[in-house]
Amino acid sequence: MAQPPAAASSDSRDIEATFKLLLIGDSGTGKSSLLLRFTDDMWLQPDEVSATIGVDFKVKVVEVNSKKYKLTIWDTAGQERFRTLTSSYYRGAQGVILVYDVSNRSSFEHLQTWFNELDTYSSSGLVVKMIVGNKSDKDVSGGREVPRKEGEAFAKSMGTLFIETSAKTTYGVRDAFAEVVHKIVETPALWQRSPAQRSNVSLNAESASDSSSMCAC
Amino acid sequence: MDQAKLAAALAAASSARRPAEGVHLLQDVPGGPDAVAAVDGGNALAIRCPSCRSLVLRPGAAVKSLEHTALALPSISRADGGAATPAPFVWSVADMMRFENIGFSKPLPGDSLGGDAGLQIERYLACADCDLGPLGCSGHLAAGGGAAKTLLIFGDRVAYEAART
Repeated sequence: MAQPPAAASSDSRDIEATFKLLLIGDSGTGKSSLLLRFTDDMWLQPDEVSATIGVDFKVKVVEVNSKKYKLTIWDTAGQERFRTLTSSYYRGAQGVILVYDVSNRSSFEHLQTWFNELDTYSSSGLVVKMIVGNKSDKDVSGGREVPRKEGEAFAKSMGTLFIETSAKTTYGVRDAFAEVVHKIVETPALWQRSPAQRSNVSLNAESASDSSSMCAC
Repeated sequence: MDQAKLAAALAAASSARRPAEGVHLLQDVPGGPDAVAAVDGGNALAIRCPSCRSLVLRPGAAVKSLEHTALALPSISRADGGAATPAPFVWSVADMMRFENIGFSKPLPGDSLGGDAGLQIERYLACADCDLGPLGCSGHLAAGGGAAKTLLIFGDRVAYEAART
């Protein structure tokens, strides 16, 4: 007999939850690179393939504390120039990673602007925020313009997580996402379904009636 | 066909870089290319990025379809100079959350891509871990499809992992 189709293994049984994360920050801070897995274990090298595709958002499965979470990660690339991020982009996000470039002071100073926008549009004050000082490998070449302590102090004043990363060396990148997911998991009010927090649903009468019929467990 | 170019690029790649055990291009799948689909049309094998082998779709997450095989997407291989190639078949994915790992490009300029008669291409799909692509595309049906999104992975642009027993 033919094996039963493998559909049973394709469902999301082992996915604990799905979270929406945003990457924001100035152009050139390396936001998109944070999403790439750097490895030499590649079958094709960059010179063998066509130009890479600018990616808007990704679906990614991450494992934190032996549990799997499915993330949708949204990159602002190409939009920030116009400062026209809409509320729909922020709506329903449980985690925000604010990225600056440690070798570019203005990208650090602009973080305040990004925080202002986040406060304006974010649907929940509980949203987990992390400041990421990227390109920490610039230390080696003497290009650093923002001392680590300064980044830490700013993060503390804003009540956010902080980490320095180098997408180039992969230093800290995995930790950054894991930290944010971990913190979201620790904040059930942020993701366990309630009418105010539901994502991807427009706020109208239909969704309101929908939510009232949902199990409250 | 893109598969041949992709295979050529892979063959030309350093011999130090070898495919992972049990991961095959369509043409090399044990049991032949037809073995990738189960009796119900679902993908019998896990679908992975052909370069970094990131898991794209688990078995059963997509359905094999011969619709939209007139669609052509720019080749993955630089040797092709970006020439567009169609797929022998596609994997249709019902919902973006059915993917394990996938990247969506920015929306394509509306009038720069024809798609085929039935589908307007909106975005390219790429590997979430190494950005290789296009592995497929998203789009909406030109007529009668409403707002429903169509998500397609080109059957000859991904690698297949033989079932582990």
